[in-house]
Amino acid sequence: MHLVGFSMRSLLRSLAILFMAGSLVTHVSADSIHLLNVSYDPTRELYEEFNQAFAKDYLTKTGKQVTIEQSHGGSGKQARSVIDGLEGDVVTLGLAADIDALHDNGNLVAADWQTKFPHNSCPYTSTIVFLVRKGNPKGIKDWPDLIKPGIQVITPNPKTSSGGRWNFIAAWGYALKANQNDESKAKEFATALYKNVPVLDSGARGSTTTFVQRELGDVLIAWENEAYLSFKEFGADKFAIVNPSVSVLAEPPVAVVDKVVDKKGTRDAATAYLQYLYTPIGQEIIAKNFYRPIDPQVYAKYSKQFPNIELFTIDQLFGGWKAAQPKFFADGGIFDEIYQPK
Amino acid sequence: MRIEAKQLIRRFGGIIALDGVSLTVDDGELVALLGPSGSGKTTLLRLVAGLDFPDSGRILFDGADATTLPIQKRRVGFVFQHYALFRHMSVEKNVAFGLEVNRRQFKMGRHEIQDRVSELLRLVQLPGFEDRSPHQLSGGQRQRVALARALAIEPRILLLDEPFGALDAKVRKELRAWVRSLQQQLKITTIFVTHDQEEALELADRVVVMNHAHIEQVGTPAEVHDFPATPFVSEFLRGTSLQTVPASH
Amino acid sequence: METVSPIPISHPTIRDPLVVRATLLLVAVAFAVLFLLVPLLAVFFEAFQKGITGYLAALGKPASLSAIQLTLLVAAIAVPANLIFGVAASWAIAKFDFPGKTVLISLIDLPFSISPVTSGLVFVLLFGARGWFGPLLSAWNIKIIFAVPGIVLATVFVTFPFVARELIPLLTSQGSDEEQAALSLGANGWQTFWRITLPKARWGILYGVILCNARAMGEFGAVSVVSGHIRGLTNTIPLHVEVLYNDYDYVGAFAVASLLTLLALLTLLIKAFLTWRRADLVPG
Repeated sequence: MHLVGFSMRSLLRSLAILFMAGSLVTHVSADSIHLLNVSYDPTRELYEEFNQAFAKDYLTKTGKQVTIEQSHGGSGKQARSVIDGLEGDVVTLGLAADIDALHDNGNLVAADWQTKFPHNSCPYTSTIVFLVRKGNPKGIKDWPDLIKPGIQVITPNPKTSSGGRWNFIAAWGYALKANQNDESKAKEFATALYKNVPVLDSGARGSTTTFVQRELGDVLIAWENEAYLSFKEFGADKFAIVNPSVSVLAEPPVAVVDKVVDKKGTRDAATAYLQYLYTPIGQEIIAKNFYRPIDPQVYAKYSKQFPNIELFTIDQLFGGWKAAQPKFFADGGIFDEIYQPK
Repeated sequence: MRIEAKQLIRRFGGIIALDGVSLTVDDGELVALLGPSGSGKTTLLRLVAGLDFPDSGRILFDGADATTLPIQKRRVGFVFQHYALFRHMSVEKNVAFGLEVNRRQFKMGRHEIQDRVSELLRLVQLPGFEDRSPHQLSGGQRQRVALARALAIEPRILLLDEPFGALDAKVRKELRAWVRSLQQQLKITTIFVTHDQEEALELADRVVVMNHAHIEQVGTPAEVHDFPATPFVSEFLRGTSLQTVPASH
Repeated sequence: METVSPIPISHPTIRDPLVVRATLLLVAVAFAVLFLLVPLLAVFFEAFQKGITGYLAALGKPASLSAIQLTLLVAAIAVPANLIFGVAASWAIAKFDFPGKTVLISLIDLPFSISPVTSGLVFVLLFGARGWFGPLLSAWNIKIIFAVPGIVLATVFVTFPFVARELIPLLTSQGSDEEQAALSLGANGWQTFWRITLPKARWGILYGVILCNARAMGEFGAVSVVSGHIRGLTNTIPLHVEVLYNDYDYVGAFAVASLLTLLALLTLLIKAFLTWRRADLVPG
């Protein structure tokens, strides 16, 4: 019984030590700036490289140490976390609607956030392509091939993933163009397409691992950069990239989260961070990670890795995300109508 | 010590366990509470011990009111039916427990306690069993350790709840005779509960026959055996023979 | 036994055809190997793909170290908290009758019957920026969700039942005779609790603590919801495994996962020891 008393005491002591250690960890050097970049799934490699470049540049220019922490997940889910209190100084999400949500729920960003940075606050673009197994055994060449019976299509859940939404929009846009803007035909096409989807992962990276690692499915509808990354990681001997005839110009936007930076006093650093994405060095890193840079010179330099696909924008066909988001992806929207979970 | 129970009433929910029971046990006396299960005998014992408290009525120890006295202050030696030895302690620690938790009261050092434990173990005929663990002992040995533990605090009363109930017949007979002689040697007021008629008649100075929360009859073994006061007592004791055990052996 | 059977009693198991026995055994072993051993070996195989230096390097990365540290911290808070609660609750339940006792017993089981994801969301609902207490916490500049306190809370909630569930049946079956004996020998309530109740249940307590700890360190669902997934800050070991896996860092993912596997094996070992030790403790 003395043993119990003793171990209780020593337990308390070690707990106290742990607490102190814990608080040391969480309060490292108050004079350095900490930024949290809440981002979507496929940007992991991009920002890992970009953050280092920015921190170095910021130190030389201002003499201030800045550390950038990263959080990644499905774009919609990440937006939800920021709304629920995840204190991201900046958000770099998959599509504008997710940042609009930050304004609509809790006024975390201004309504005109998209005017704060050049090019509608989209420092890079991308598109949607297909990744297929080596040698393309199912002969997938374009969108109509995806709705053939027996084809398994891997794409993430549009409710939680921006990639999933761009995929949906790309497919819908193709169907509109192929059927003289006939909405009911587009709906038929989308219905048939999602019938061929065996699983909906919550984020683009989840879908990629499903296709690449778990080897499920015949075709992955993916971000162009995600497709090239898989290509780079696993080699050309396992996969092939197929460019569809028509696709969407995906514009992943960035924003400073006003409410957070004002509370933390990090507005200057956060703004500088996002501005750095537009510099030649930032654009170069973007291109190297297979995102399409908006700087024409950098784009020209890397143009070989970006094939010419006929790209439409969400504004042209759908009147922007403000219109498309509620129409397709709200509860009871078109996606809910056409997709029955298996 | 003299124990007086006056008009004790104890209810459990809607069931009445003791319905106005009064009893006097004289100093040094060995009294058996005899009755079928549910007759209230164990409840009465627990009230005397302070493990439970009456809804009304009084308990006097040597004339002083002890009704609400907490169990720790009563200095009773209580022996449980299933011994209730502390399973995680050695025999020595078990017997020493009462002395160790009351160090201030007993003013005993470590060595004095050790000596006292050895002495008690000799008394219950288990010398040298100090380092054994309870699960290494037989039922009869456990019962004797329980008795030594109860006696360690020099109790004013000894209370035994079905002390031989869990033992086999042969050990029970031996232990009975031994308890009787020990009680006479220590001259300690003792109450024990039993549902075994022969055990009660054989051991006790006086037998208290209980039924349905009442006392049916109080008397010497010869009185209750030969002159049952109620049909219940007559029925309950039918077929038993009266035999006395020698005072010591 | 008044009659003695003239026919010798046969042992049916020996009479079973060899084929049946062999098939059953084979099926059992095959299942164990396929579903238990192979995945276990696969974890270590992947973890050591780049040799011991690759393994250690993967574990030594700052993000991995911080995940390990956070997991230890969370367990170091959650386990003692649930130990204290579990002992108190099971003692109260086993020893006393009080109104609402059955409600308390069912409440203790609640975390087992709720999906961990829901458990996590409950805390978001309570402490999230738009939750019940969100504005208040924000005004006081207290961070719970997407920070260490939220992870601790979610873990405490999920591991809540382990100690109590282990102890309630144990204390109930042990009864209160020993406690009453201690009281009759002059011990006060406090002495009785520390010297009798706790030590006699110590193997059961340890058993509960071990299970509680394994779950606290391994919890994914609830923690994932409240973590915010900030690398190097709010990722516990299980979350970090997922992050590494999704980063295509398979050696890293499995190296970190191997820690949880080792923890599982250790837990199993201690469990086996405790089961054996407790069987030894027959009632005195």
